[in-house]
Amino acid sequence: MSDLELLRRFEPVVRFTQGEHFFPMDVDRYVSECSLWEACPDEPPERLVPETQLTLAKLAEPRPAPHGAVHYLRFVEALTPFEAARFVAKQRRAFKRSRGRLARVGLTSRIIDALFSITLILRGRVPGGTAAAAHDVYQRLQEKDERYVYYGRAVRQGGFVCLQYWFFYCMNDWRSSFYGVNDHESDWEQIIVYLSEDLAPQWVAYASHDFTGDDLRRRWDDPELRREGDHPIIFAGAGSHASYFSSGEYMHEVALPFSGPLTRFVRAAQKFWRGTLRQGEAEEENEKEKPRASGVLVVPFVDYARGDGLKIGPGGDKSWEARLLPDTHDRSPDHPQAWTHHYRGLWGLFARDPIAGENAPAGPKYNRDGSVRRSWFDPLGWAGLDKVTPPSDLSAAIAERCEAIRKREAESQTQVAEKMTQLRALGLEAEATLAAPHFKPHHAEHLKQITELSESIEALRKRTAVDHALLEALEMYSARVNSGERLPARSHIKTAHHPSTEETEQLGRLAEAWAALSVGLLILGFIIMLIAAPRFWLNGLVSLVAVISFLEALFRREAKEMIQRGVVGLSLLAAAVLIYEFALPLLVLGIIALGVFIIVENVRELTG
Amino acid sequence: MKDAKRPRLLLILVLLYFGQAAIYLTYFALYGLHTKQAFLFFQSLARQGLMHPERLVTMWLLVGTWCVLGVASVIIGVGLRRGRPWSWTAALTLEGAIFALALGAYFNRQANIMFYVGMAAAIAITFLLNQREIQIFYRAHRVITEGQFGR
Repeated sequence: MSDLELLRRFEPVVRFTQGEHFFPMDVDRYVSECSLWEACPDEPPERLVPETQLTLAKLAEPRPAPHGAVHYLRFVEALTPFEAARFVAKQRRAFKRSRGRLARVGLTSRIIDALFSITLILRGRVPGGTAAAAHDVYQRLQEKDERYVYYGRAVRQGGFVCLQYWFFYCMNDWRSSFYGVNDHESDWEQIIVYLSEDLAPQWVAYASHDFTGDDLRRRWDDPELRREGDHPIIFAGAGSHASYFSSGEYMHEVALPFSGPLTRFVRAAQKFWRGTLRQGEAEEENEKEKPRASGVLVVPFVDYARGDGLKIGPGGDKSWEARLLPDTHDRSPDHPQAWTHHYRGLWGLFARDPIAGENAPAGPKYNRDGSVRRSWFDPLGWAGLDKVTPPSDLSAAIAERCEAIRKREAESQTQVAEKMTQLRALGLEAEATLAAPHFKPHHAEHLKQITELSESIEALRKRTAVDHALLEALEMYSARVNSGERLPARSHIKTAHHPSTEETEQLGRLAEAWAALSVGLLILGFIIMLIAAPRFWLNGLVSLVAVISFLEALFRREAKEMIQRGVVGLSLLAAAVLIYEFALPLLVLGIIALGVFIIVENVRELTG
Repeated sequence: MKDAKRPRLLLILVLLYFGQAAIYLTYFALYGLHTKQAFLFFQSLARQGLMHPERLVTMWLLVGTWCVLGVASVIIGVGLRRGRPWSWTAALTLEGAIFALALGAYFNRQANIMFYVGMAAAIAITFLLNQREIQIFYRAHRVITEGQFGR
């Protein structure tokens, strides 16, 4: 079976959310609408190829450039605010958002969100109206020739056949159309279907925001993975085009830059508070698939992957057109997709955003900095499959491993026997020379050798014991594998992304209105207080935050939890006051308590 | 509360609660006994313009507060002893009020040893109320809705 036939056999079905504007397309038509630019640091960008003159062949031409230079495409010029407003109004009719992201999170996250919005003004960003302009061009192209395209390749690695599917969109309008994190011209998304060498599907991995390694993949028999026959179903995020296994609305948190140390400190404090002091709610220690650990300074966003819109792929509303990407070693400029290897630049506007979220992505092979993507050169390692033996090789691999361990165990035993003989000889000599004063220097040397040999024998015996236990485990595993038993389908997942539950989506209009107004009210209230009673600004601020937090808790039906958190906070403050006021007496009391404890323990031992 | 095992710390919590009640009722008794005489004395000072009359109101408010805190501690202590779920929330709310009062006095530089003793007792009680076993016993744990794929 050819690579293209393989790709077609397992090609995915992509289900979009109603209101989505952009669908996977071919790069040919996109590039024909683009101009090519070069941006060097501290210099205005230079247009290398104007609109309508750019082709894929031209794009693949070599272009030497100084260090720090960025090549990028420019797809559209932003529309005027009036035209963009028309687009937004139309979009609001098509897309019905449910409970807003701000109502799903707490007051702190909303304050941080307000700050994040301010950073957008300062950072480089895709201009407003770009999505509207891109949509106009995309619609024109589709009306002329409606096509839904994916790019793919088959890579054989480590006993697996990896079918890599790439989807190209001319715009990511997550921020401007769906209240998301970012916008950027062009978007590349990927999934990989992993087959065993006998072409049986084993795993599927979907690229999804910041998830990496094992968490990206699902086993073919995992109930979370929806399929249409041999075709996995992807639920694409509205505007973001991130891939999800289940339909729903996903809370996505973006950590603010430089918040890492604070998050780590808070995590450690929480661990001590919950684990050591056993305070508050139980930490889900033994729970598999913990929800993604969120940071302290995070901005919340919702990714809508409802799957209620267009369905592309087998059994869907539209069919795919498949295009094969060149093999890693096929660098011929004559290949129709030679740009895969030869164009390292960005596929859309370079917005000069320092945290890169608004810059367009590079192609399927490259990262934004021009380095090769891991999913390209190591598709197995990208989804954490490099450590997984394909099922067809499993029995043989276990047998081989058992044999190696048995061999090592036998070697260890031989070594132990040899060393024991040496050790006993040394022991005899040490005993014999004990009563001979003229052997004093040799005796010390003997004792040193005895200690070293003894430690070496202990290490060998420990390793043998571990090997023995490992062998037992492998033999048991082999028996389970031979009887057709498999590990649980989700045992490899550490953190999983689950859609919001209905409970979190049903807090009502009032909560949503409060979420939208609360941060603004807090700021206005503070300003009024500063003008009216500047002397009491601190007391006033504390009272204002307390009242707003309490109202917030009422709207979220979490008044009890709020009281608990508030009282615990006050108790910590009170403890700090007592320590500050009575540091010396407390120290003395502590020392007295320690002394009493030692006396009690010793007396108990005496009498015990 | 027949279905939940009584945590070992519960006895300490109940004892501390009754101890707290004893503290506030003692304050009430001490203040109550002396306040009447002090009131007359301060009233004469106020008449002579040597003391602000507001202080008299503050004194009576304080006496009333000690009384309310003492009585509430007794009632909640009984509820805690009997394992009533409402008593956990009530206890935590009362501790919140005690902290607010004591910290308010401290930051307004009006705190004395009575406030510090109250604060220390409230810290110990809050620590115990927030213990996981105690929360489970009083069914204070929020039920977490499970995700679609069985978190």
